[in-house]
Amino acid sequence: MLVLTRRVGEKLVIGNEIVVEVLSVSGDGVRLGIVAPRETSVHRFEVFDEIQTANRASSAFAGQAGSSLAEVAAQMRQRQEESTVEGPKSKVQGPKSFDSKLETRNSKL
Amino acid sequence: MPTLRIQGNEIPYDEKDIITFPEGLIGLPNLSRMVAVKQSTIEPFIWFAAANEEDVAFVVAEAQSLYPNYQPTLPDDSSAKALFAEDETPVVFAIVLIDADWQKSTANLRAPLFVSAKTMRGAQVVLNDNSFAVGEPLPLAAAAA
Repeated sequence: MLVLTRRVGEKLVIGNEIVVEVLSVSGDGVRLGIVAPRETSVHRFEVFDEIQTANRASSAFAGQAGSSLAEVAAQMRQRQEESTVEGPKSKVQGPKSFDSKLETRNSKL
Repeated sequence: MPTLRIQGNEIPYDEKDIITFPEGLIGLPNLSRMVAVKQSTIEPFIWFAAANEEDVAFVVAEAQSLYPNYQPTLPDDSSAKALFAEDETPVVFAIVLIDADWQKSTANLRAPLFVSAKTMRGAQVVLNDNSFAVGEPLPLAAAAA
């Protein structure tokens, strides 16, 4: 890991386009300003790491037997029926915009 | 016709049905080509299966169908803005995480997938609003009772 010391108001450059500036320091908090190209996403590490972990866990599920998945889906459909009685507001609907695209494949599974 | 595999089943698909995620998914940059696959036994969920990776598929749901009050908008500074026309409303999908204990299954509302039905391009976007949970419990019938 590269370690640098910077003072408030000083900057560093990553690659040719990403500039990080130390805006202020207060106690153990450091306020940073970041200038990066639009296509470069900047996240707090904890958020990025949590989402990355969730993504990997979700994708890992696909190869497994889906008894849990079928159970959850059945529960969701049951809720759909219940809420249809109560009122249409919370009705569970399929992804309308994609329905026509998906219909053709439905029979193949 | 190319095929992909979901839980051991070979599914044929058409190139034009591929949703392109130019940046991939967060932490999974290789997943840039996904095919939406419907299966009656998992409704209201659908699969987003990777066209270029064997046996990789996500369970997703159109987010508003699960959470009627959930109406996320793209942050102004998001690079994903470029994927959508000014007047276009993207379709928002949440990735679902099915737990072995099915009652603990969750949906990711913090980083949903914004997809253009018009151009079949999309992006996973981290929302600035931290009241949206990465692991929001699914609105199951059992939990509501």
